[in-house]
Amino acid sequence: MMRFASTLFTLTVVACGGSTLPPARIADTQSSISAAAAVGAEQNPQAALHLKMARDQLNQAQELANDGKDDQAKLVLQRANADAEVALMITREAEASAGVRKTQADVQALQNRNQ
Amino acid sequence: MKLTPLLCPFTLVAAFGCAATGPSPELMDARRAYDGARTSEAATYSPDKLLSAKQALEKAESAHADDAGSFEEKSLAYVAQRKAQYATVYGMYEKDRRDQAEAQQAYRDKQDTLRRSAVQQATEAQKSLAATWDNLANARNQLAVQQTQLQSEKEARAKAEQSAAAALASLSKIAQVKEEQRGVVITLDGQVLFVTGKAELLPIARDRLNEVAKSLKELDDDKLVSIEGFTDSRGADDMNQRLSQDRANAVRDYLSSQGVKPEKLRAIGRGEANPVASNDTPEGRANNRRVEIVVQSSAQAAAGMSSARQ
Repeated sequence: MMRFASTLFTLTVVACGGSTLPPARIADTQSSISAAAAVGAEQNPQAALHLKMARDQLNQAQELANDGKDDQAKLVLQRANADAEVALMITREAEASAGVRKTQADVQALQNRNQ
Repeated sequence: MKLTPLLCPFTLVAAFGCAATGPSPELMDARRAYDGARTSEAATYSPDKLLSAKQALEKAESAHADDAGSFEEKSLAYVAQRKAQYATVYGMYEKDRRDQAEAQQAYRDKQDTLRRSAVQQATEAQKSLAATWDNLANARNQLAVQQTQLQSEKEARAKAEQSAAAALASLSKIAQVKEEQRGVVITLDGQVLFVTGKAELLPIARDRLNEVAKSLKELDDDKLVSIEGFTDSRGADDMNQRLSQDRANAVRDYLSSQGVKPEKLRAIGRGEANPVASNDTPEGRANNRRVEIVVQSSAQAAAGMSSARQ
């Protein structure tokens, strides 16, 4: 009886919270999302969209893992990670592009001042 | 196991069905995104990200080949699409950074050029200002020198005028000295100077003319001296004219022999003209027989010449 109960407990744990989804991968994705948010992805419409998709998919991956659908959870987690990275890069690129335009305008202003 | 023969055709159909299923929309998107990335700045600026996108697409293609339309294919294709997008944006980002570095360099270069130009302009302006100050200082010095010269010339002139005036005034003992508009007029009595009717100087005349010469030598160089001979109205006009001219010449020559510069002297015979007294009485005629030595300044001489021309 004790043996049966122990087996049942193990099965329950596996089914409810005992996902094989490595916590490190979840943490990585969370870090990617945090990094994108930290550079201001929410202020860039295109980046914000990817950030939202990343967050939604992280939640979805956790739900899938809770449902024991680890393979799907891993794939969705990859998607979340990819979206977070895109959000980060779109934000940084927009900032860099604005910086270039600003500097080029400064150069032009100096040239005009000299004329 | 008995079902196996029955299942086989279904399995085959299912397998063919799967193989015949085209790529998922996600995979199509991933392929398009990768093609876009390959021809974007990523090829130049982020080849490693492009490679990573390619590998992700290969995994998706492999998943499609293994199990077309599967969740895995769609997910891996989604990831591949995002990685291609990431590579593209990363390429743009890298290009931005290089453009930024170039623009910043251009800005610094431009600033340097402007600064150098400003420094050069300031230096030139300083030089020009310094030169202007020098010129001003020189002009002031010159002005001061000129003022000093002018002052000493003025003083010298005043002194000379004084001594000349004094010299002329001293002649009043031996002659009549008058200041008229035409200059200072020294009138010498004809009888004292000449033998009657002749242009020959008497010995006493020489003494007097020596005094006159001494005074005239003290005059400034710009003073001209006109020696004018006059007669009374007795005798023929032409004879009187000639006599007055000869007497004026005799006085001029004597003064010249006593050191008065000949270029300052001019002898004029006036004949009977301009009598100073009546020719009807012996005294008046005696007064009319005279020699006038007119000391005129160059300005007066010029004015006289000008009015003579008119």
